[in-house]
Amino acid sequence: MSKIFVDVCNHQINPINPVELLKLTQSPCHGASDIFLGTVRDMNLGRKVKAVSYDVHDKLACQVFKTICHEAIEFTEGDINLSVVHAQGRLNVGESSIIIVVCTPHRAEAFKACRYVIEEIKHRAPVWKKEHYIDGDSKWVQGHALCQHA
Amino acid sequence: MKIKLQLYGAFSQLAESLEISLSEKSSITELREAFKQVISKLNPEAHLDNLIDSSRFANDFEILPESTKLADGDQLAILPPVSGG
Repeated sequence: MSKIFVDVCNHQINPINPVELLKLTQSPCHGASDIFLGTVRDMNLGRKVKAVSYDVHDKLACQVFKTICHEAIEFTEGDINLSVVHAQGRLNVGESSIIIVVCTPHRAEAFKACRYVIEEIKHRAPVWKKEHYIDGDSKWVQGHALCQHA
Repeated sequence: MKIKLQLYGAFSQLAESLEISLSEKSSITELREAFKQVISKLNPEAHLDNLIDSSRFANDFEILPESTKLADGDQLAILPPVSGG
């Protein structure tokens, strides 16, 4: 039986914790765990970044995360557990913005599902990123227009 | 009727939320046009029509089709192009 855990966390209060989330997601039947951890980079499109702020429609985001995880369950043979947590608030370079943990009996399914989830989240999740640059300027990142059905 | 609209992303720098007045039986299409009018009055220098056109409207559970009929007191959100993950 597959399990899904999704959440949006306030980075200042409860930052992403990969070790805890891996423990939460794993089951004894799983021989493979794939973790995607997104972190804030210090450079984007030639500009030096010092921090990023994430704005999130948290209720809708959790709904979208669950939908995407269910889609991954549909194409995965066998048991699979998935966890997705996205941070909101201001994050400095190197801090974690998103974590996806996928646990399956064998590695091929874990790699495939994890890749699918992050790619879909980037195009479908109601999350917006504002970059803060070393020169003092800030800018909302140009994003992907949402389709009607999230 | 009045709709409460939560603003996200680039729109959030204008306000946290706005109340939009619409005539009865308005749809998302009318909401979009009304929002453009409100924004142009709030901040004439903003020139956000293109961003508004590429945004979607949603409740807490799903993005709403343009033909969705709205009701007085509906609480929605405007979602500009996304950049999460």
